[in-house]
Amino acid sequence: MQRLGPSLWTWDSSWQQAPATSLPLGVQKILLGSAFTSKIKVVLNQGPKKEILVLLPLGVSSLLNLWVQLQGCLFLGTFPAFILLFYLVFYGFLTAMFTLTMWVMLQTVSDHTPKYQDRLATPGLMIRPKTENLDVIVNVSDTESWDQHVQKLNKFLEPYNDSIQAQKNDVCRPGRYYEQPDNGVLNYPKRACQFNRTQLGDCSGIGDPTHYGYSTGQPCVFIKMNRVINFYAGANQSMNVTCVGKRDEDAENLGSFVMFPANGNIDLMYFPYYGKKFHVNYTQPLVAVKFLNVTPNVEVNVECRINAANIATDDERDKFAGRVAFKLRINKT
Amino acid sequence: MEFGKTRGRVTPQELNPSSGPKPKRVPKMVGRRKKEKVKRKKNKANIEELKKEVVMDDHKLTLEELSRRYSVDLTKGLRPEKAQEILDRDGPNTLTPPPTTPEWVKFCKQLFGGFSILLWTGAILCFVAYGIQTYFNEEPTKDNLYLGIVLAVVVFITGCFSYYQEAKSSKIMESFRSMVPQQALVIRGGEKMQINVQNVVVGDLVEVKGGDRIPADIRLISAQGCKVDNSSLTGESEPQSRFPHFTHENLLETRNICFFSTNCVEGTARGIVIATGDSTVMGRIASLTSGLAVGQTPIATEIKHFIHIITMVAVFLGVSFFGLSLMLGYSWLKAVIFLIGIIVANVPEGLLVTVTVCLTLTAKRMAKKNCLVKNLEAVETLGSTSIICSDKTGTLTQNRMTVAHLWFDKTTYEANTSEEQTVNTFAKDSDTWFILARIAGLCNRADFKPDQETLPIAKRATTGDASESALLKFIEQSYSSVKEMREKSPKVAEIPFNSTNKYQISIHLREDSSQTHVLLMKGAPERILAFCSSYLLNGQEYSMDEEMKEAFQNAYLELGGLGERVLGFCFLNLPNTFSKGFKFNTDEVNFPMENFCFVGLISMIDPPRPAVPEAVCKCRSAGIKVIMVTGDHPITAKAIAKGVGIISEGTETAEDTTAQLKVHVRQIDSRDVKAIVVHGSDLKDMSSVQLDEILRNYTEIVFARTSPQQKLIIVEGCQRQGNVVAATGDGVNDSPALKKADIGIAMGVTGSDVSKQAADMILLDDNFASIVTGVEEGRLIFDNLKKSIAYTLTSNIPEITPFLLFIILGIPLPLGTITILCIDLGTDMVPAISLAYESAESDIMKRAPRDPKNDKLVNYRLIGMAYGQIGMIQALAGFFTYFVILAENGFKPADLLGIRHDWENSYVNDLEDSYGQQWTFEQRKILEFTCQTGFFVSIVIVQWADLIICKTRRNSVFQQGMKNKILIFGILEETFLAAFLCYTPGMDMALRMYPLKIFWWLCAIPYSILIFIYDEVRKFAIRNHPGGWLERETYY
Repeated sequence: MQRLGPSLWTWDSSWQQAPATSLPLGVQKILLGSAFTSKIKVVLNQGPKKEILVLLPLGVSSLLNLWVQLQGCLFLGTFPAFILLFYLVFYGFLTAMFTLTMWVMLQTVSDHTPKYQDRLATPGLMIRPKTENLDVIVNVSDTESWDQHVQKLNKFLEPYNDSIQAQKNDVCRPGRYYEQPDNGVLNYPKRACQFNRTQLGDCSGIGDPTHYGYSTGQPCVFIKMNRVINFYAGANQSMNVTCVGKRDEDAENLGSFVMFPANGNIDLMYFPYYGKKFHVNYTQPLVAVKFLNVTPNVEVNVECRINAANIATDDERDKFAGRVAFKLRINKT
Repeated sequence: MEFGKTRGRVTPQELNPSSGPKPKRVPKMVGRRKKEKVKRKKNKANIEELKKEVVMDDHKLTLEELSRRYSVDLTKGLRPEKAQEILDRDGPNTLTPPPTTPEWVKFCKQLFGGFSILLWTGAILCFVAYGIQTYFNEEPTKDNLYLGIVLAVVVFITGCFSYYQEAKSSKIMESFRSMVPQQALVIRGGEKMQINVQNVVVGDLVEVKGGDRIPADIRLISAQGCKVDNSSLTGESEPQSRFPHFTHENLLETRNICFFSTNCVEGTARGIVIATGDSTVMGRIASLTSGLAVGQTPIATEIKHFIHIITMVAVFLGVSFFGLSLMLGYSWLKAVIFLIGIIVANVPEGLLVTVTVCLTLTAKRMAKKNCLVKNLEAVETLGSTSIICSDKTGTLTQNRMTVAHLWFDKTTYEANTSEEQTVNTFAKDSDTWFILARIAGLCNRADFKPDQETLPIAKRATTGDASESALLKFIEQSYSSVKEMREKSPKVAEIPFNSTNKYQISIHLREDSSQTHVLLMKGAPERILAFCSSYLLNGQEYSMDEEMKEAFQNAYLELGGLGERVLGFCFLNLPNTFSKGFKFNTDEVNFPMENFCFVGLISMIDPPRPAVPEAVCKCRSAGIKVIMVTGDHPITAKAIAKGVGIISEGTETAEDTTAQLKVHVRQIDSRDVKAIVVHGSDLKDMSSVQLDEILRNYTEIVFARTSPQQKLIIVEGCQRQGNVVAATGDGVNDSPALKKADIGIAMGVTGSDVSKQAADMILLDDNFASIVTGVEEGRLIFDNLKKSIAYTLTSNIPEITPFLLFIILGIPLPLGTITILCIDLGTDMVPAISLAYESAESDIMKRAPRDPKNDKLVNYRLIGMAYGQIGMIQALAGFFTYFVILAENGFKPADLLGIRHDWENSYVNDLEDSYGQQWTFEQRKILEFTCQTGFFVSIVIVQWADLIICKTRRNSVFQQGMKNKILIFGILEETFLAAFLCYTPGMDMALRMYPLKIFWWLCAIPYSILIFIYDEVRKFAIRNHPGGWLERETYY
């Protein structure tokens, strides 16, 4: 019989009748019978091998008696192991309890809408390409500096390819919400509206030798609004995204830009969102901004915000609620 | 952190039992250390020397020798120039005050002692972590800075608080001190002059009179009826007469020396100053006191042990997670920050405050019960006490002579000696009693001081010596007004008591109109009997016979054996020849001095205080050995010891047994003898091994006729056995013992200033019984501190695990620094303190004193319970709430794993949840803080259950009841505070706590119930299987 560390549990094959848990205790060894034998087998390794069978008592009060028995001379040397056993049982029970409560809780959580959404009253805005500090730095001459942006954008825009959109999504009527109520029966999966890459015009990157304008110093930045389930953005009125330089000098340095779709409009038909699970092919609407003549070699702070009736953009603390701020820098030699 | 302490070295810091800052160890300064060592040795030698008896021979000298030694004229005194010279040489005649610790040192000791060290370490680690973070510009979060500041502020405020507490009690101390400048009458160059006491020099001829304080140690050269009260030095309350003759080898016993700072009660005396200032007997005792090294208080040791455990747990957790986080791929820098974070998270911020407040509350409660505690930590010391070395006079006894027995008509009557003295029951109708009462009242020089008619007789102040006052009060009480009696039979002549005659005679005009006189006499019984030829029996005169003499002898022995002072009374009706107007001459006796008629005996004792026997009995059942140490005679000491139960009924000393069995002392098996009276002179010859043997083998010990130094030796002997020793005392002579004992108890009423200075505690009513209540409180607070600590430590686990899982699983941080502080310093505070008000589970006075070696304040079982069991359940409750909040807001548990990186990135503002919704950084931070608030509230809710289970360690809550109102208030308070923090508008800005949905409050409740049920089952098993495995593993 090999001896393992005093605190290790191991399957002991020397006891052939049934797999048993064994607890090496220095020179002594306790074998706990598997559940169906309900026996504790104690093997004393000292001298000739002796085996003592202890019947595992049933019920709580006899379990307490077990503890009393344990202080008998037979178990004197087995203390640390028994406290381990105790904690094992104790933690086992706790784990079971925790799992049970978690399971009960998860049963109550719905699959398609979270119970509370009050933290998401104002959807946030975000840009693509996503950079580490939200600064889009383009060294026109240094291909590598913007190539990663381009790669990311290519990947990001892939699902927007017209072919994919046409294949998966519906053509919806613009200017109104695309509601798909359940009406008592689960209406599943929900359909999504098409947002074609071509809608992004010069920023679509299709057959674009300038790589979204990055190679020419006229980069495209894509703005998207965070998805929030059952949020009726715009409150039935049209909405659009606008961008400005944050301060006066930024405004000067920013120069002119064009937006796609025109005017930075976001159509109502992309709302509401029904959640990842039901709204499988949902395509998030985008607004692309192409900066045409940014003053080179200067850092420009740009802030874009959404103008919608039910989206506040003046949250003091959350700088991304209904708006997004990023830095733009075109380095030209 | 200071883990060991050098013993035996005397520095001012160590005179205070609370552990001071560690002496700086500078390895370079070897030379200085060596010097220190030498100094230490010297100091130790000095103390050993001081412990020895005072050796002086001035009292043995003849007057001529004395005059020669001090080159002083015995009538004219020193020449003023010479006196000035000596003054310049020896310095002023004052005691060097003990080196007082400056206030700022005391303050620093409060600030950096004991538990504070742990918090300071935590604070410093926080600043280090913050420093690292700012230096490497890693995660510019200010949490660590704030935590560090909060920790520092907490220690600082607590330090101020306990400093203020102790300053307050030392202020009470100062009010005891009377600062009257003393004057002394010296004769220099033949002129009498009043000078300040500090200008008295060795060799000065001084004159003292009744009411003066003795200005220095004086060898008398002449005296007229001089009596001194040496109680402040020896504790003996009886004034002793002083005269120029050498009477005893021992300086302290001889009658021709008066000691510095004792009082002259009556008479006048002249003497030569033989010692001044620190070299006086009093001075030597004072310097012995201040030179003693004092060990740590038990509670300080306990707290040190506790810090060990906490540090070990913290370092273990910290290091293992340091390794783990490195393995998980965190950078070194992050891992170090984690390490520090985990170590700091283990510091129970609130515990210092809790412990201090609990001790203060108990100190207040004890002060109400007349135990004023000078040092907060001493509160608990009394609870661990296993031996009380008590003084006799004033502590066990009432410190006033009272008539205890009367013997007349061949019968012994008992007088009531209780403090109230309402009824006296004895044969008041016997004629003998009338005569006895009249003798006792008339032949008595004591008198009541005026303007005390409203006071009960027993409380009135009197002039005259103790036994006469006792008689006066007794007669006034049980017979009639002494004043009237004296008016009716005016005194015409008197021979006052003196120690050669041992009797006192007064001659009065008879009350009836016969115009004759009666001679009344009282004195030592055997002397009185010698004068008598007849005796009174039921008012009839019989001539003296052998039978009567034997009866007298028996009575005398019986009363004497009770340790009582016996006086005999007799009278003689003078014949007509001595009718009114006869000039009695007391110098050359011109009246008959024989054939008196014997009336009876009255015996007096300083009776035990009424509550003392019960208190001693309580001590005994509480496993505390009470040892009596007194300067009194062995017989008196033994009688009082028997009276108060120090020597219990049925137990006999070896001498008693021998007397009864009429066998030799050696023939008795010493194992059978449990009681012993040790005489001071025997103690002097004993080795410490022999003393140890006595202390070990006898359960009931009385030390009689002990000198001040011996008291110290006894205390040390007890401490050698591993006992926690309490010593009481009032005299200056007691102060070394008070200082040396683990807890010195001084008497507030009769105690001398020096003894109060040396003591840790002051009994405001001088009553031994108050000590017992003190013991009770001390034991209770130890138990309750355990509970408090168990309660406070438990919440450490739900506070640490979030951080650990944050590191390992990469989930959003479930509990932030601010919320942790809200728990530790907010919601947990009042409930933890409320446990100090918990009543005892069982009779704490019926169990043995705590074994300081094995019964620790915080042991591994307590940590196991708090951390391993209850804490774990609490952590689960918190996590459950956390997961519920996240899941209901869109983040299901499975999606949280490893989310940390994006979650913490403030540039990721479109983090997707389990439903595909996207979150800005601020939105999910608000969610995170809501979760933290939820976690916080869950801890509060599981702490309800924890508080209730911490109420008891063995009993069920149903047995204990919920009588502790403060505890109920604590539960409500923590709940309201949690609700307040959660729902008050603006808290989101101030503490980043957000309102919770009502349902989230309920998440923790199943766990709360689980805690309660689990612990009730555990306690049930412990109760039903005492000594069982569960008890040994989980009973803290």
